[in-house]
Amino acid sequence: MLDKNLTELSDEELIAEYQQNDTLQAFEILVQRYKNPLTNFVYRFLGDYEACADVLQETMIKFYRNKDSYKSIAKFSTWIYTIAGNLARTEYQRRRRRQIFSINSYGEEKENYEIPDERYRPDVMTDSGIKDKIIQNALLKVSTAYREAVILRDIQELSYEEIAEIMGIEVGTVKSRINRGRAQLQKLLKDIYNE
Amino acid sequence: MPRLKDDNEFEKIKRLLKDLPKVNAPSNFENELSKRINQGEQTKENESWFDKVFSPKLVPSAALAVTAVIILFLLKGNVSDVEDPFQVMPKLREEQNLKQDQLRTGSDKIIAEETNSLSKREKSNGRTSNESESRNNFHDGDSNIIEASLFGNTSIERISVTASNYLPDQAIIVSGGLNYKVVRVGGEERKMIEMLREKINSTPKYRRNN
Repeated sequence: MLDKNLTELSDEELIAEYQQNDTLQAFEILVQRYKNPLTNFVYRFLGDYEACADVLQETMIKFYRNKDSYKSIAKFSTWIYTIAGNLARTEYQRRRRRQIFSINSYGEEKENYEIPDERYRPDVMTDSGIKDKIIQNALLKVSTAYREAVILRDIQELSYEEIAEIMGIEVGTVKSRINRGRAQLQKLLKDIYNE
Repeated sequence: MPRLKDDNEFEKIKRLLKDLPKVNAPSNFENELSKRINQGEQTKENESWFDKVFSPKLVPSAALAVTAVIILFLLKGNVSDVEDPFQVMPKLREEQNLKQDQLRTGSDKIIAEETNSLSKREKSNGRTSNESESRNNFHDGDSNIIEASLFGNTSIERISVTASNYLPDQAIIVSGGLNYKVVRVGGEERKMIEMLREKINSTPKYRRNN
C-alpha cells in the first residue's frame, strides 16, 4: 500500500495493515494520531508530565509489541485508551504508595498525613494558568474511578459507550461515576464558581 | 427547580474541564519511542540462552523445585537407614531349623507308634498278611500305593495312600528314616490312617504347613 494512501486509512484499517504486513508506517501514523489525545488523558489523570510521557511511551511500546492482541471487533481508539488507562492507573498507585511510604518514614507513629498544598489557595490566584492548576489539582482529589470517567467524558469527549468499553463497566455505571465525579469537583471548585 | 440548578452547575464544571488547555506529547516523543523500541529489540537479540533459562521470572519456580529435590533427597536418605520389614528377607536362624527337624522327628515317632498299635490290633483280629497280599495288585495312574516297614518291625504293615488322600507333606516322612513299601490297604485301614492324620493335624505342636 502506498504511503499516501496510508494516511487516508481509518484507525482500524491501519492496525489491520500493521498486523498483517508489519507495515511500520501504519504504526507511526497511529502513534502520530493518538500521542496528543493520550498525553492529555494521562496527564489529567496523573497530574505529572514526566510520568505521563513515560506512561505514553509504555503504551506505544505495548501497542508495537502486542499488536496481535487487538481484535477487529473493537475500535482501535478504545483499545489504545484501555492500555493507556491501565498503565496510568498502575503508575498512579505506584506513586501513591511511594508517597505514603516517604511520609511514613518521617512520621512518629506510622500515620498517614495529608500534604498541605498551599498552591491551591484562591487568594493567590492571579491568572488563568493558576486557575488551570486549581482545576487539575481538584481533579486529582477526585477518586480515581470517577476521575477517569470524568476525564474521558468531559475532557476527551468520548461517548458513554466508548468509556464503558475502555473502563470495562456498564454504561449506567459510567454515567453514575461521571455524575459523582462532577459532584466531587463541584465541591472542590466552589471558589472558582463564585468568581 | 433544584434539579435544573444542579444541571447548570454541572454545565459549569463541564465547561471548565472542556476549556482546560490541551496537553501535547513532547516534541521528541517519536525519537524517544523508536530508541526505546530499538533498545528493547537489541536486548531481546542479545539475550543469551543463559539469560533466558535463568531469567528472574523463573527464579521462584526454580527455587521451589530445588527445595523439593533437597527435601526428597533428605527424606530418601533417612529412609534408606531403616529397613522395610516387608521388603527384607527374614534372617534364618540355625537353631530354628534344628527345632523344625526335631519337630519332624517327633511327628515321625508318633506315626510309628500309632502304626505299631494298628498292626497289633490287626493281628488280634486274626488277619493274616496273606490276605492283605492278595489285594496287592494295584493299578497305576492316580493312585500311589506304598508298603512300609516301620523302624525294622518284622510285621509288614500295609498302608495305602492314593493321590486323593496322600498329602504331599507326608513325603517328608521319607527323610525321617522310614522305609517304604508299596501296599494296598482296605477300607478300615484307610479310615485308621485318616484318623491318625487328623489326630496329628489337630495337635497344634505338630501341625504341619499344608
